[in-house]
Amino acid sequence: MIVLKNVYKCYETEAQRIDALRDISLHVKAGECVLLKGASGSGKSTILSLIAGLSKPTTGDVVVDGKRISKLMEPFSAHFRRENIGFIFQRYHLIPTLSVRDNIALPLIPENLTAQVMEKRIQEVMQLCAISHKASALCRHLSGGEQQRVAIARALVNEPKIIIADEPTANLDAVLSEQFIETMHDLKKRGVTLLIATHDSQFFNLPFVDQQIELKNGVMIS
Amino acid sequence: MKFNIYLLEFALFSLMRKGAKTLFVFFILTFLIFLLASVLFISDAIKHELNVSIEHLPELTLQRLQAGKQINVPLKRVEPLLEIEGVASVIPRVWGYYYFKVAGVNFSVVGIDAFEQSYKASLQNVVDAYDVKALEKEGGMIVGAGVKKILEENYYQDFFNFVTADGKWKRMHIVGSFNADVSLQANDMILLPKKSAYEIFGMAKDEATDLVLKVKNPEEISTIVSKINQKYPDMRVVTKEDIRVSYQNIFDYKSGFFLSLFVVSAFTFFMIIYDKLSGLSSEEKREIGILKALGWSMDDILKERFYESFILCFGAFLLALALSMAYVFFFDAPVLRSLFVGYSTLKPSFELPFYVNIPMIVLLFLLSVPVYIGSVMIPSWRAAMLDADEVLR
Repeated sequence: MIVLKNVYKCYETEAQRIDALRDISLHVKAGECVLLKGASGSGKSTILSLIAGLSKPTTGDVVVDGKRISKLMEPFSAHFRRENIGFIFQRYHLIPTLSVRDNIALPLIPENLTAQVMEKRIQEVMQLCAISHKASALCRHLSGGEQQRVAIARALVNEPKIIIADEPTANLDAVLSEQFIETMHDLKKRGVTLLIATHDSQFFNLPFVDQQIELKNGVMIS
Repeated sequence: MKFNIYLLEFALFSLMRKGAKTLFVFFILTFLIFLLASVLFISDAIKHELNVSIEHLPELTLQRLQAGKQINVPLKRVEPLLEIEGVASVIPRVWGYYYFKVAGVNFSVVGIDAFEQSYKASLQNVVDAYDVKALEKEGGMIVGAGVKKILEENYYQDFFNFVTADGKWKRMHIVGSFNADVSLQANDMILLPKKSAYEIFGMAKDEATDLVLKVKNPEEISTIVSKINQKYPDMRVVTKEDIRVSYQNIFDYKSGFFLSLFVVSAFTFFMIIYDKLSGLSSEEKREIGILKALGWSMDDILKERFYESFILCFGAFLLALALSMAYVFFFDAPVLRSLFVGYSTLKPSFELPFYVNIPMIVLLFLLSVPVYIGSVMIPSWRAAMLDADEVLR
């Protein structure tokens, strides 16, 4: 379902050139849970960005669900993201001046659904992530754990086939990390493909993880 | 394609959550557009007024000069002037300024005659509305709205006592007032029978203040002027064009103040635009990055930004327009107005006529709303062009 073929990605500035990824090839089947491991700067987040269509590879191909998203033009890649991807960012990237409900609704706005369908979906994910009681609270007033639950709900609201999580437990304590892992397990049971970039050891021995890929300086080492 | 109401809703909400910033920009835009619109309304109203005044003026006015000063014209000159080829009529006018010391203003006193055609239509309308013969008998006068107001303020409800040239009192009863369409000219006017005017000004009965000539063909004006100059070298012929140029000079001189105001407002507006164009804040960029990452296309982001800036700027434009209309036409433009009409402080004040120059409003709209929207759209477009990954990093 997700295929990366000889992917290179380099970031160039006036001062320097950084090779973020070098010759990465991988294959993820639908419904699998894949862990991307490695230290900071190893290229985990870059792989996730490429799969989500947030950036394009310098060379190589990224194919998701049969679509070469590395070649998709802007409006199509946005549409692809909306239809297929739910992204949980390391720093959540919520809009602090919006309420929980409005943050969760963001991916649905371009869909132009009917008000009833939209509200139904928002209520469902808020219940699933146990954040309904904070629906009207502004995100800047939430704790770290609550913010993460909002981020998960927002990633789920468009019913994506793929969930991408970038260092999801980096800012959470052990209990909240456990809860997050349980949520991921539930999603896996529902057939959602999971791609999780982490260096949190709690993930390494989980029974529902299908693949573990280790990166170092932009190269796959296992 | 179905209109996405949620984008509009998001844009509205976005303006609200930016609270103080939105209010500040809204206030500045409203103030600047208000200032520019007020300037335009005042100048257009006065220009309109002057144009209408000039339209109503006679083609030729003849004044007699002695030692460079205007003196009265003997009425015996009327007949010889009528004999000049192309002259349709010659109307002797008896008029002058009467200084009302108590209020510190000048009134324009004009003598009217029941048997004489007035030199302009608006005046004729007033004359037609009253029985001039009865005025003569009763010692009555008709006053402009500005005069009436000043007299009432000084407790002259029904009459006014003129002091004649030989120092006697002459009581004239106020039998009516008029709101002429040309308020700049008519507001300070008192119409009374010619006989009374002669008495007040102490003029000889066989003289007039000046003569007004109507010509059959305006193309012949220059020939007629040269014939008059030959016949009466002591007479100055003032054409409608001379008066237009004279009014325009006063207006142009005064409009210098307004130009300065205009330049300052426009400069401030373009400073805001420059600031906007120079880039988005990191917070705004981050928000665009988040929206892109969540599946918003560039089109969605730009539409939302368009709604946001349009609501803000168009709202400010409409409010400013309404405020400036109220300020100029309802409150009579205090402060700004005095810059323009300062030259007539000795005359009773007049109301700015309601005149809106639509092309100027369209120009103001084009110079404000699309420019502001552009200043929001361009940096947003630049940010939306970047990979979301790059913005969020």
